Amino acid sequence: MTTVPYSSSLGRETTYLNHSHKIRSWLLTLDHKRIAILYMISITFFFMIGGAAAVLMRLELMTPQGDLVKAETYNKLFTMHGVMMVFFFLIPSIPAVLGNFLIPLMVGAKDLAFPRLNLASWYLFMIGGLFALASLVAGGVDTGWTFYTPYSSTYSNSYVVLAVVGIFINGFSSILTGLNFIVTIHTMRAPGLTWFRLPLFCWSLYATSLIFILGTPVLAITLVLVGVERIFHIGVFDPSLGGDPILFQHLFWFYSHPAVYIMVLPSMGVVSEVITCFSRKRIFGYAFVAFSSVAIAVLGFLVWGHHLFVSGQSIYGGLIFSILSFMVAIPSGVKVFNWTATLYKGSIALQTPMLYCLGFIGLFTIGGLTGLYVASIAVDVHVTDTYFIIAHFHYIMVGGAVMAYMAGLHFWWPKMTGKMYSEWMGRFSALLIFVGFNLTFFPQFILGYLGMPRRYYAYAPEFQALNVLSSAGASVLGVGYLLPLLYLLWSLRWGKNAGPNPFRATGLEWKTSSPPPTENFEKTPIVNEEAYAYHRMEMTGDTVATH
Amino acid sequence: MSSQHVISAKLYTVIYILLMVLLVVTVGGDLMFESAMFRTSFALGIAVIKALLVVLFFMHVRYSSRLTWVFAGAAFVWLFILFALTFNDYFTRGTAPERLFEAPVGGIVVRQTPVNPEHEPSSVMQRH
Amino acid sequence: MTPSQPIDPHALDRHHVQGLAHHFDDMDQQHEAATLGMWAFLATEVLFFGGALAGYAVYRSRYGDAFAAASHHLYLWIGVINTAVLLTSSFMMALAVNAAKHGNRKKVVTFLILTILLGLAFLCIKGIEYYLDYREHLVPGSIFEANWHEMFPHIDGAHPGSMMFLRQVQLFLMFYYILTGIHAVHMIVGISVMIVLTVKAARGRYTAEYNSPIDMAGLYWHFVDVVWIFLLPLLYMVQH
Ligand code: HEM
Ligand SMILES: [Cu+2]
Repeated sequence: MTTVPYSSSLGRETTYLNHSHKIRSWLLTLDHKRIAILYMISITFFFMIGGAAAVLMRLELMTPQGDLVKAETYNKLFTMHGVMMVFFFLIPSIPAVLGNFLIPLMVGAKDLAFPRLNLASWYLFMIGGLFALASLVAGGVDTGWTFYTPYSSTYSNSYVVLAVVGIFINGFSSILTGLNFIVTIHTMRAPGLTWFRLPLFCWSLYATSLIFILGTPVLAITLVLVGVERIFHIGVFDPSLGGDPILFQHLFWFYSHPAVYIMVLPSMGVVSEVITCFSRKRIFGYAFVAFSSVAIAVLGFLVWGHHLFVSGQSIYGGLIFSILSFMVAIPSGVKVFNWTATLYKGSIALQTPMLYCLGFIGLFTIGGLTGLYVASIAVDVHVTDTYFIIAHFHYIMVGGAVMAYMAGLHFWWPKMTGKMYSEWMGRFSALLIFVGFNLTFFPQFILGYLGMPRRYYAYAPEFQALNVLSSAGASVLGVGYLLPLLYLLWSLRWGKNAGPNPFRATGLEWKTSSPPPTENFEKTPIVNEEAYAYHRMEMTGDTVATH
Repeated sequence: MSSQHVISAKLYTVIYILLMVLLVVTVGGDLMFESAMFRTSFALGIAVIKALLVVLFFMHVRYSSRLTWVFAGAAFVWLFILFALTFNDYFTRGTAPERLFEAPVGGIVVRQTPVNPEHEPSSVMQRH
Repeated sequence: MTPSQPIDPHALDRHHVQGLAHHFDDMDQQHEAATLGMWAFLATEVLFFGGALAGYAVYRSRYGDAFAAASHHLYLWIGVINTAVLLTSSFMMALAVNAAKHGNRKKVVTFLILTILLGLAFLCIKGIEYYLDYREHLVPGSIFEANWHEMFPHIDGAHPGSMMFLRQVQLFLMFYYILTGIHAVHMIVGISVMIVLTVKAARGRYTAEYNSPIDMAGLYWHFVDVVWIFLLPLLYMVQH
């Protein structure tokens, strides 16, 4: 790309957004900030498809009988919902949107280490998404997002191969993103920016990237093996050859348990940034928070067998996996304690990003603690494959990860677009999402505990009241998600100018203009203080003008 | 360039000759030794040596930064995790506590063989 | 990179350094980034093959007899020749990298071409081997089912135990084709990359200062070699 003068003749600043408006300049951009925007638009699109499937499921579950859709359709709906939400929304959400935008800014670099790979990774993501969509248009997939063999490889009469190819390609997009982050954080930090001065967001994305590069390839080869088995009608998970379907589950969860940490580690990074800013305090126990991210990434690889407790895995195997699962709770607990300690005696401002973060802490704690329930073998035998599991992971993935994504989006929106959204609308929809979420998913804990199985389109009549409650909550949640879409878009045109640092936050990304220029900084910044020096900022009085 | 170590063509040649010799040795071992167990370990042992030679010299890890060692090592640590915890399941299949109720003889568990292994596909994996 | 004294990157006039991308400060930083990126990618590759190898190991620990019997039907000598070809190709690649560091354009091109030719030779030999396997009916599925008594004449097909054995033989063959297949795909990718590099090298795009791409392609190529070093004993020399 050609370099552009910092100020154009019109007197308006040239930013990464307005230096060219040609569609080509977007589709061929190597600028990490523009690629982040491309990702943002794409994952919003996939979120809406996954959301539509969820709406239909919740409608079906209003009544105990299967009346709205056929059983097969319902199976296809929850599969599409899972595939879209997990692989095409949540996994890329914070890393590929916020991480892409922020990591170079936070480390004081002009771009990620490999800009071309970055663009390639977006294209891979889109191609993967197209395959997944093609499987939907062709007639859908009914295996569940977990693709368990031998159903997926032998018996399912749906478009498994298309979906599997889509997820395989999407995996390479993740790998390239992770690789880019790791190399950028290692080699491109600004002078003076030591590891222990890095924002915790960078630490958590570094840990996430480790999972990207070390876990994703195992999923990739597993999907290849499933594809081969399906296409050639003979393969390595086939019991009639002496193959073991449980081997598939081992390989699948070797990636997919760590993948849940791909979703939640970046969220923890966002929370560390927001909590400090809106309590005007440095983080409590920086090193603990930083290293617990790495510990979670590593320990997360040792627990996958807790998804196989009832599968036919050996009982000794299950015991070991159960004990190891309890260990992961330790670093997660460390983080929650450190955030709470950061809040203690802070001057707390309940602005939109902060509301989302407080929601995250509460809901993540519930999700994590119920994780311990299901990691105990005896309890899991009772609740496995029931709505209890659904509630558990939605508390973490929606109550946790999506909340944190919303927090990050609202926190950095002024930086990304240069515009402020309406604070009142922000607070209102944060509240709406919190209420809607709990209304939707808390009843599911009870339903599951009472024995309602997951993945059925009909259920026993005594479960109806709680299911109606859940569906009602889902509609509140739906409105809660639609509002930000509207007022954020509204802010692009009518929002007030944000100025470089509307929240008076520390961090290099706030030291450049909003939106930043293509080269990020006029001049490579030099860092001479720790991250989150809010105590210093409060004492000296902040110089940067606020809105 | 200052930061990069250049390995001489001579050293490369020595490594190459070593690799070819080791290849001949593997085949020789495979044809010569009697014990199956020994032949397997021998072939794999030589493969490890050959791989180390390639990684250390052809891929110049020997002269690379600590970070390169860490990343090259991490791949194998993770591979170890995958193998160890997977085999932790497979090697203990069918030795589960429920078997203790069957027929303990002098502290040793006597296992029943499935009646018809053809019958239940998954029981195939439980036999040793 | 945490230098004790701050350096001003603008002091460097980077517009005259060939091959330095705009967002790096200097060649060292760029080379460090490329190397680290390549090793992170190779770690990914280790786990990609590792997933399949874990499956292989599980079944081999169970079905040692069948795996050994099946392995003995493969062409060990073709496997060995191909190993020699690939090791030689790696050697040529190492020499190409060495020549690149000395800025010797002619040698770089020559050695790269030799590397490519040997890689192609490997693929041709592998193709011939697949054809021979096919002629012997060593193909899992209906072909094997219809012809297994040619390969295992001493086996009584009526006995349920031997049926299991024959199926496990096919399980081994699945791994044989999948592992060698994905290895071959990696070879094809590597060869394609090196063809591009050869053209660029011939046009003088690389110098003694700037040759990271050749270095990185070398790392990848040697890695593919290492995979094969393990596939040889794991596929062709199974004992029980
Ligand atoms: C931190 C973020 C977490 C996320 C995003 C998450 C997500 C999930 C998901 C998606 C599932 C269901 C998978 C399926 O079958 O479709 C699940 C199940 C499970 N989770 Fe979590 N989880 C998290 C934390 C934990 C923790 C901390 C533990 C235990 C220490 C845990 C233990 C379990 C267990 C044992 C199951 C399997 C239950 C069953 O299927 O019977 N999870 N989780
Ligand atoms: Cu899990």
